Amino acid sequence: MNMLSYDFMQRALIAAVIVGVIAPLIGTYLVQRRLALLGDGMGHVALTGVGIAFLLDTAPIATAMVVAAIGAVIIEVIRARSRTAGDLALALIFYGGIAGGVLFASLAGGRGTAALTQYLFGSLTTVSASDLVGLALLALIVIVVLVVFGREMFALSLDVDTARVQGIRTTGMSTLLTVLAAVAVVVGMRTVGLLLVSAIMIVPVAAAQQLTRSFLSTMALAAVLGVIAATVGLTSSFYLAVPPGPTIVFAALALFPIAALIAVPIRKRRRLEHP
Amino acid sequence: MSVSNAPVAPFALRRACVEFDGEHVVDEVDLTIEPGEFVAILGENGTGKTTLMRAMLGLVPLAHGTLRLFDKPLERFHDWQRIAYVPQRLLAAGNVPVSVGEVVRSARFSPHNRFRPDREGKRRTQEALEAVALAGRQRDRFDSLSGGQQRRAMIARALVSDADTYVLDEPTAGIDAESQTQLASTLARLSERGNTILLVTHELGAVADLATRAIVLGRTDHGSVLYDGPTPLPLHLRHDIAHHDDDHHTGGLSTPLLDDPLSESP
Repeated sequence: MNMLSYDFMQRALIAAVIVGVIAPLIGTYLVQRRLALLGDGMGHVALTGVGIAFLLDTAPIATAMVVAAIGAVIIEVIRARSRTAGDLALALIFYGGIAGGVLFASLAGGRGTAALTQYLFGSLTTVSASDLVGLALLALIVIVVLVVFGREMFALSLDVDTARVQGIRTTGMSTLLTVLAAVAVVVGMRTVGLLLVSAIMIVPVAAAQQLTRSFLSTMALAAVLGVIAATVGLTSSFYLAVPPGPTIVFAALALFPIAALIAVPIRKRRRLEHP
Repeated sequence: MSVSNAPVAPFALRRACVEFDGEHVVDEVDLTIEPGEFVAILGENGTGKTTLMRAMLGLVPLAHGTLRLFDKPLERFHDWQRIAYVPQRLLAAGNVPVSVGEVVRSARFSPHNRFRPDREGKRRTQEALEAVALAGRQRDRFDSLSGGQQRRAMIARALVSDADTYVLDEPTAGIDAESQTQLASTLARLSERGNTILLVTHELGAVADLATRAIVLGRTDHGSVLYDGPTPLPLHLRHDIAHHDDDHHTGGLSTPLLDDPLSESP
């Protein structure tokens, strides 16, 4: 039984590879800025968008994107206004997101609640051809934005004050990064699912940073590990007949100790270079 | 390091006040930093040196008074590439490895060159690292450097920008003698080329000695500035500053801003 003989598996694989590349690229900035859990929250917020789509009977990608982007901007406004209340405000928005998703999906009827699970933990069968076009388009937008603004976002992630004195609009760049995280969440929504999508943003970065010495090489290696995790996870999901979200995340988690083992001799050698 | 010929003051504060929770941290400061000056802002801990410097960069809002950067109010100032700021340390020591070269080169990233490839970046980074005696460390992790080396890399970071005005926060705090000498010679070279240098320090040493003008902060009835004039400092002020120097070792360097040695510190 070859899984690629199924059209839906071909589409699911392409969708998984796209998120495998995109999510760790954004994740590298999030980890550097100590915002590893932001993707998690964006996933909760996007769930409200999915619920609204069920209620309106439209395509979830568009509504999830709009709601997640609005959530991203609100989060940045709150964080810019107040350092201390920021954490609490984030929590409130995240709870609201997941409650809204379940509420709207339930209002849409029994079919809605069942379909919601597919968005929470991913699904092999739901990626349509038009979804794929949407995902590819979002991925392209992420890459173009990173090429144009990525260097400024990197300077910002090193030090907010020096970035400001360089003329970088720090609030704008910060908001842009959060919106990019929202995009990555929506890109991963179909295959990894909204509850686990932030794992594919963060775990490959955590594995890669054990082996690298620079930001750029961490980004590149994390994207490679993201693709490996997405491919291995999706394949296991097909043969085990389970949702792909958990298998993709487990595949990514398995890369972490492997990277740690490879890192031991590399660190030893570097220590000899610069004692 | 291109030096503009336009004789415009990089920084001008008029009756500037900064408040935190209703308390005046910086009070009634009038000062103009002229192009090409080498200025040291001195003072005891808690006199608002760093706050004043941050206010001059627009990082802290003024409660009263005005700030002009190169003769423009903050909102209309866009020539940020003329200013290089060297903080004490990078705020976000994040969880992703960052190479020394990436830290240095990041100073070149700004809205000005957003759509342009940074062709000179590589060469400029290499030259800047050579200038601070860190050649060959470009690909190493920034956090694998010692404290003094990190500070030198931060100076290199300032050198790759096209600035003519350098603002440094406590550049000598906690760094070894070798790095201090290295830093002093780099700053001397920048100053000789006509650049403006403004640094905040609480210790007098090889670096502060290069300053030709000192601004001493303290608390008075008529504002935060105790002294603003040429170096060396008047005697009564030297003791105030020197007494608060005991938490850092200057590595045996002399303190030429003072005529007398520091032996009378408590």
